[in-house]
Amino acid sequence: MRRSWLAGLVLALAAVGVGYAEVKVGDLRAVQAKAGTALRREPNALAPTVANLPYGTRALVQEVRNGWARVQTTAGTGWVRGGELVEPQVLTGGGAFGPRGVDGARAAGVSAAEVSAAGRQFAEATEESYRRQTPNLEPYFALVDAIEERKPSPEDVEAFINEGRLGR
Amino acid sequence: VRTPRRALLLVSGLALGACRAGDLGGNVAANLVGGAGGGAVAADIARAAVTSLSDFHQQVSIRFSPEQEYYLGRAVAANVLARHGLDPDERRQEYVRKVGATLVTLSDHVRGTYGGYHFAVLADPKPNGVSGPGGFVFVTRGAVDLCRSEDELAGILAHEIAHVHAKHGEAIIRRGREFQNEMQRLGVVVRVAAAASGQGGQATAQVAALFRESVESYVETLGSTGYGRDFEFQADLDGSRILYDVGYDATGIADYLKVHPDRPTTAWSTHGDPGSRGTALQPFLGGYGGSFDGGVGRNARLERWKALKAAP
Repeated sequence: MRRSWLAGLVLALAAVGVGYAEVKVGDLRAVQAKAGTALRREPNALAPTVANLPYGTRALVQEVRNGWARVQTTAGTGWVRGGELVEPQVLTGGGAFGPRGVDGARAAGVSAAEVSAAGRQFAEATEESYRRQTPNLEPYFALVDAIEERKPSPEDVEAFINEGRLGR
Repeated sequence: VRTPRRALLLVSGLALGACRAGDLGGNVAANLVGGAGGGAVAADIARAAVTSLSDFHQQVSIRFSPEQEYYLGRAVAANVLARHGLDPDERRQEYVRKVGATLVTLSDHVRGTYGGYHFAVLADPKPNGVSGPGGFVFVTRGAVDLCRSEDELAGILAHEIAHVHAKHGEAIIRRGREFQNEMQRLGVVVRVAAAASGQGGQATAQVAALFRESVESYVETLGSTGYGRDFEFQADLDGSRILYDVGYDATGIADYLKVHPDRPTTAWSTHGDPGSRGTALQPFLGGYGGSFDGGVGRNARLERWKALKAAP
């Protein structure tokens, strides 16, 4: 019986639609990365950056080329890898009701409670609860935090790529 | 018996994602782009809450959100680290981080995640690669030792990235629950949501229990049967495509499989033995494998690989 309600709740929590399909012209998409995504001048991972698009930023797809999407955003127009974008309704954190419309308009009437409801499923509070139940894992969550922080800089990665004659 | 209408109103809190996959999602998006009045959003939420059972079931078409994946992945990673430990060699860690970041940066066949991709070396001497939902990728010290080139190491990481990309971790979490009676599923969710109306704490506890169950069953599955043959074969192929995208030798995974030690037959029954996995890659590698720059790149990478291996 315990299994059955868990199974049901799995389905409920997961019910956010697919949203990872290929992008196409006319699609409205959103930035899924909490650190944001680079908007680039060309459809190339090493092309100069126009701006960093924050999490939740809406992007209107104007052109698609080799998996990259030329998008219109409030930060300007440029290229983003299509896989970095998701359908806005897929997001369940604050970006679900993100304030960043393409025209800069904020959707009025969306309460903090609604945003909270969208984000409470398997979110930070859920992790905190889990950590309280499993105090033996605390040192390892600290390692997870450290692993997340030790990401190499874009400059270091580019130097590594060039040294290894990659990306050509 | 609770009335379906009340129950469905209540379920909207927990199953908001499902509702948003329908009309609500479209309206929210339209409002955000067009800047329409937000009253419509609130109305849509209420309307979506009374979506019929059949519609709700259709919408429960199964994907964790990027944020949900991220928090599941963090907890899985903590469990993996508790089991295997973290390799203290910072040189090796840095090398693996850079190879992983290179793959993610240059391949157009890697989907993004909420938290990005993170790579680390486990202290375990047994050769293995492990990935969790949301972008946490681990390779063991034993696997790094076994690799004969950076391209093979990249192959292990690309294979694991392919598991993340294809959401195989999510599939594992769901495995074994797919045969539940659908009406039972819906009825249970409604009851949970109904409980949430008067006793929010109870619903929170149930979500926490589900989280724990999902994480622990995932870690247990990885430690026993792994992803299973079909997912391993798919990750081999997709990982080889990633290698090709980036400029590594696309044979990196197939080459690594040649030196990977045999496992007990029972383990390969769920993973696929290295020989058959290598054979399955041949049609792809026939067109895309091998060096396409006369070996210049491989030689350039060989120097830093030797330096890593020579380090104490």
